[in-house]
Amino acid sequence: MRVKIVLLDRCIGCKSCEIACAVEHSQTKQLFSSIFEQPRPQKRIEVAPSPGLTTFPVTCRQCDPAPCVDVCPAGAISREADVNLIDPDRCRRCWMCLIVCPFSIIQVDRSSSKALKCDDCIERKREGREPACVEACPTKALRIEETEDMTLFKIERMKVADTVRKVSRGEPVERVPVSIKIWRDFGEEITKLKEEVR
Amino acid sequence: MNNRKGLTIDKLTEQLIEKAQREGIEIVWDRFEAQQPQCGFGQLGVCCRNCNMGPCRIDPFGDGPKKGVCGATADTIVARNLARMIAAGAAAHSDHGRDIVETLHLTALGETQGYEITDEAKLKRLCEEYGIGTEGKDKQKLAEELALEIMKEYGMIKGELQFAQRAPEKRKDLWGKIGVLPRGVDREIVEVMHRTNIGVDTDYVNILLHGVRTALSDGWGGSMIATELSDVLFGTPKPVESTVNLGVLREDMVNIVLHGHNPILAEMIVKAASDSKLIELAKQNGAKGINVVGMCCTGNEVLMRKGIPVAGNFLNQELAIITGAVEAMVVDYQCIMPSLPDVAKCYHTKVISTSPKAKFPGAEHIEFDARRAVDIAKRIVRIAVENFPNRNKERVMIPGKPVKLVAGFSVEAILKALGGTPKPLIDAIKDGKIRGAAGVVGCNNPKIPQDYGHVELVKELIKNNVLVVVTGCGAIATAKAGLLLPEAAELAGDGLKEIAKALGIPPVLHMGSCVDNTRILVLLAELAKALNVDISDLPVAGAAPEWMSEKAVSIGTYVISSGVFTVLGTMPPVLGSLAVTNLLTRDLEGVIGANFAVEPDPVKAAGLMVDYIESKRKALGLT
Repeated sequence: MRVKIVLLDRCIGCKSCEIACAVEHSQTKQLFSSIFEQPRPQKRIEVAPSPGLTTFPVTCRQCDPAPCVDVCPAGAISREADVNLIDPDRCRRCWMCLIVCPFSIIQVDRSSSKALKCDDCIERKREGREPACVEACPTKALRIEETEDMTLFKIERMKVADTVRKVSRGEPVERVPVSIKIWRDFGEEITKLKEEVR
Repeated sequence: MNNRKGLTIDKLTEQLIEKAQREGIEIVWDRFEAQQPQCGFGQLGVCCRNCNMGPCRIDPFGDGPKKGVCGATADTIVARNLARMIAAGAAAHSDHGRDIVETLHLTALGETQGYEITDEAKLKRLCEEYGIGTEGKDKQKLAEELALEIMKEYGMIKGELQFAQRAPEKRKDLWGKIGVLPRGVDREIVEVMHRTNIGVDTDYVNILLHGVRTALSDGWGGSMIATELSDVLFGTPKPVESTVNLGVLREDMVNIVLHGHNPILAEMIVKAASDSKLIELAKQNGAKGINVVGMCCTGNEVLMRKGIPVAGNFLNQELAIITGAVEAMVVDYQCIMPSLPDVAKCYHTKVISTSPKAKFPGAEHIEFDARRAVDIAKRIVRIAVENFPNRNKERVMIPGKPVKLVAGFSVEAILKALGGTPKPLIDAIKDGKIRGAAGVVGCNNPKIPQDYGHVELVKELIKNNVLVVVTGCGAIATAKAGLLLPEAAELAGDGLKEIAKALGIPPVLHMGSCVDNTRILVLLAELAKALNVDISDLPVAGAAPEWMSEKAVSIGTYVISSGVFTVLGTMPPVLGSLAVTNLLTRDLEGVIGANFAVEPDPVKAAGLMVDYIESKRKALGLT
């Protein structure tokens, strides 16, 4: 199966994934024209800040089993080719999915007022292409791994968990160039300083 | 925004931040939060938009692209971006200087309205410096010749800047040796734009050396011109008492806030506000009178020369309007938030733009012209006065009492306080009563709690017997904290306390606006010459704890290039190139005798500065 991996220590918050996602889900799929479309294209991924200068692209993890799939009373969310997809025609706007999502990634479609989430670029997937966010990421913080062996996937996830733990404790993170380390340490120091004043 | 605590250490500001939240008005801290996270490529300086093959980005992790489309490396891109920041900052200061020269010239020709040459002695001194014979010429003639001579500094006819001659011999020799003697103010700025164009200068050292030359053309050129000629036109500052913080606004008066950087119009508005007819009109409209206050560096200019109270620094500008008590906010240029007209829409406040160089959609534009300065100033004051009845008294909140301050410490005023020569100061430094001196300057930046960086750093420095001089938003921050008062000597170490008390001066001296950082350069040159050493040998250090403007990049660069170690409180966008970072924070010392450090914690920053000062004392053989 195909899994999307986030390498936390790689994300530097440029939001290229956000723009690429919105463009991919536009009618014209071109940056310069998509920004003039009505309704305005919506992104399904969000780069969230955390203390210091660490950032994290929050997107659908395509859980299995998935709370959103289980909870939807209209049966509007189903799993297809390892992706949890919303069928807008069946969505009754009850927002149960939005409430139960552990990552808070389900949002409201601005034009239809129905539930909206990452579809893992399923059209591109059928063409054998990477999701738009992965393709756009200039630091390879977002990656696609094709694997039948879930142990590998779990190992990567363990690494992410380990990074999150280290960053939250202010411990050094491996594999990071010295410039990034100085930059993040600086962010940590400013965050501490702000807390001190508070 | 959820947590509004800890955004500032100014209690009055905090109350107005809460008022903004209650009234649902978006202010700078909301926008700062909405911008998080900010793009890492931009923060690291490795995004290049200089040509249309791009934009290009270098992957700081080394897996992705290592070069832009043209082949530029991270070193080249970071250096080019930094040089452009210096150029923009130098351009802002120097263009401000240009407006002052033009006004002086027009005044000399008798074409302006309301202006006169106030400091004739300085005019004569400057003429002598420029080799203009003063015999038998009246002040109008001298001003005309001086203005024309100074206009040449901007071009390429002279090939050198007169004010750079003020530097100590050793410094000038060094500048000559490494090829950074500035040739012309506009020339260096234009050359940055040329060199950083696609396919020109690629060598990061060569680019940055030109950045140094450009910054020097600001510090010892454009900014110094602005300071000196403002003194000629409006008077050289002398110690003056006044008040500061948002409490200077008056509930019972017409409030006019003068905001921006240039004193030319502000001086005229101060005059117009004392016009008896306009005061009478204010009374007819139900006010007790007209209260003119300053904001940011226009505020510093009229504080230094006229004792006009200051409402606040950069992060206070929106909040002044949110008091609900401002009839007009008159702006010229630089550091004026584009959001002001939007905030003003929520109240009766009129934002009035005045410079053809800085218009603001949503503001009323009344273009300033020195030929009709008095008429224009009166028109602006009248608009404010007539706006008083529109004030909604129920929404007014002026959150507290102002703090007293003493400002006006030009070099001339400092020397006078010392009895005419720098000797008493030098003796105090030699005795060790004063360990050294520090300049704490620069902006506010929502990345640091407002004023915290300035105030805590300055407190720590004076505690360690370091005499502090301040300018710009930093000066206003320390003023709000009560540090610009002779009584603040109690917070200083024993030695500095003794000296400050003996001279009757504060331990922290307000030297003016941000172009007035040049006053610090002049003072340093005087001290170095008196000791027959280079500026880089002096036990002095600089800091910009909350900097944000490109102007601060130019200032920081001319300060280190003049030989003064400088600590920055926010990170400049250079970390994407370790070569550039190492040059700025380490290797530059071997080239120009000083370098940068970056440290956001003011107590640690003070530690770096004190250690540096002590090392310089040791090198001079002082204990």
